[in-house]
Amino acid sequence: MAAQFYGSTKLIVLPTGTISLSVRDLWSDWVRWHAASDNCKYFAAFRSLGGDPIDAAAGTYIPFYIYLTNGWRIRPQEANHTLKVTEGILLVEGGGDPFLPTLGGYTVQVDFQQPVQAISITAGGGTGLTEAGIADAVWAKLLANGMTAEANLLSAKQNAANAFAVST
Amino acid sequence: MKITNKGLLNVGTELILDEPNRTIALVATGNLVAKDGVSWPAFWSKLVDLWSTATYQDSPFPAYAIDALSGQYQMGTDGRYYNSWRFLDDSSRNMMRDGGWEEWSATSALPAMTIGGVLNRVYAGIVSLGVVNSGAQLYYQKTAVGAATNFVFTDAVNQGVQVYGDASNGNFDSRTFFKAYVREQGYKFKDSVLADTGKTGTNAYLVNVLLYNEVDNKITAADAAMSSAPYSGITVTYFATNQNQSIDGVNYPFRVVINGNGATLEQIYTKVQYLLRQNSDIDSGAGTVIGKTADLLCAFEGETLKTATGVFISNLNGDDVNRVIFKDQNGVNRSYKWVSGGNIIPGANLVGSGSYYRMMFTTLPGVLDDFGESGSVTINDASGNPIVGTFSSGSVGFTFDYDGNTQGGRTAGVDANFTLIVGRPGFAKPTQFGGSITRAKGINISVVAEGDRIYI
Repeated sequence: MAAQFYGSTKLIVLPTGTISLSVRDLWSDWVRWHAASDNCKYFAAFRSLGGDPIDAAAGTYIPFYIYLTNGWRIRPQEANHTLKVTEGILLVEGGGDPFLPTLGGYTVQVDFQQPVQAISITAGGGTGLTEAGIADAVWAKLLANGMTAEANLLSAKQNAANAFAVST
Repeated sequence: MKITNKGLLNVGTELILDEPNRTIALVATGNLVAKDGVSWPAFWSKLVDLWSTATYQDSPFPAYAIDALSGQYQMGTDGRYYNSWRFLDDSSRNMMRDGGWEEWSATSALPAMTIGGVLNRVYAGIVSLGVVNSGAQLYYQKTAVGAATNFVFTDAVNQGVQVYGDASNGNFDSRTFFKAYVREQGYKFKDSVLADTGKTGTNAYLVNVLLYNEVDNKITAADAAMSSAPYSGITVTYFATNQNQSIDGVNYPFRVVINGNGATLEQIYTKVQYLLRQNSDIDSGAGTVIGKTADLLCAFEGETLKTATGVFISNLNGDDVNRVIFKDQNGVNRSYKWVSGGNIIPGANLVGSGSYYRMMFTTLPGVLDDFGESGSVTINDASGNPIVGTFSSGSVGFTFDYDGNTQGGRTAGVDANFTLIVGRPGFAKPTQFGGSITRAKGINISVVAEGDRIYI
């Protein structure tokens, strides 16, 4: 169920059961709402940045940044929960908290799952970096003792097991 | 070239004298070109010279010059006796220039000379003043409701026009009215009546008519286009009684209504001028009005079209309503209130399915009706419809009743600040523009919105 937009109060209300908020979906829902009826008579709720390709062949793009503007805010569902914010970076233009407290005094923990690096990586497709590829590269990394990281870990585990066996 | 030198008239060549029948003929040969003709002073002087020789002194002198400057001459009298000398035919008469004349006959048959005479014909010497386009066919009326008659030759006029004829020479007298016209395609029209040069009637003297023309830059098409849209739908209807026409909700009386067919003022004017050159009925109503002798209906002054008294234009192009001034049947000028207008010109990614635009007042005097508030007011166009829509193929036009719009308590007649919202989900981000509608036409608002890479 999509978020509800209230132009006169500049409020975005997340529906019951919402524990994950896709920034991209939120933008798209607002664009659709803005285009409907005479909703464009209200001040814009967002402005956006990002999505521009860095290396389209490698599947890298600038992440999505969405700024709440003109005093708009988001109110989570009326329940104790953790709300994960995914697929982009949610900000308030000029600074501030994008979220309002619930009306019922519930505890809401917001988990901003924002990328550490300001480069998004497309999962799958393309010939560039992938999550699996990065993992494989980590495991294959040669350490100072001449072993790969994977072999070194397995060796350490074996050594620990042997030590445990000796002790018993 | 017009013969003004008597020496260029040679008896037996350009000039044929028939003494027994007392006729004089001019022949377009040798030095004489029919269209150029012979001036009355040269002709008169030649006759004087001829009659100074014994060859012609056995005949009465053919003519009498009353005054060369005013162009008053007589044929068939020497000023004392009437002797029936006359021009042989109209071909000869049409070659006379710079004068009017009477043709008299004696009261008895040839070869009599009598003290009294009979006035057979009167010719007014019609001379146009001014330059007309090459090949222009000027024409005239001898009575107010008479048919149009072309002058014999094209271009500027210098010709004797018969305005009186006795029972044997047409049996008419039209010496109280004369009107001449020049109406050429692509040129401004002009007509002239006797009063233009201080005359109250025509007679055997020079009558100047003020006929000249110049290129008309408001003519938009050739005659061949008049049978196609939009020209074919532009018509003129004449009424015998007042017809009320609404201008900004108030009725005013008119008696000629031009159906503009949604065309531009220039196109309407072009069709009207075309109709006013036709020698046929141009009245789309029940009556009959011959185009080429009908009064002019409208004329441009700069970019503004002004109508003649009692002429209204319906079905105007919306962009042109503030370029026209109607003169109602009472002679009072009427015009529409000012309608501003222009175009919203979208960028490429705003054009297509799903696009939208809405123009709203940025601020209004009331409560909660500014842009961004729940009662935001969408601006109405001059027809009362809200300025909203989609960009289906490019720019869209808009109008605004600058002097009449009072939405939301707005004060009419002042600039209107607007907020324009555009967008196209998936292609163009919602974007806001601001501006002001002024008392002007051609207000172009370019709206460009950034492509939307985020929307899913």
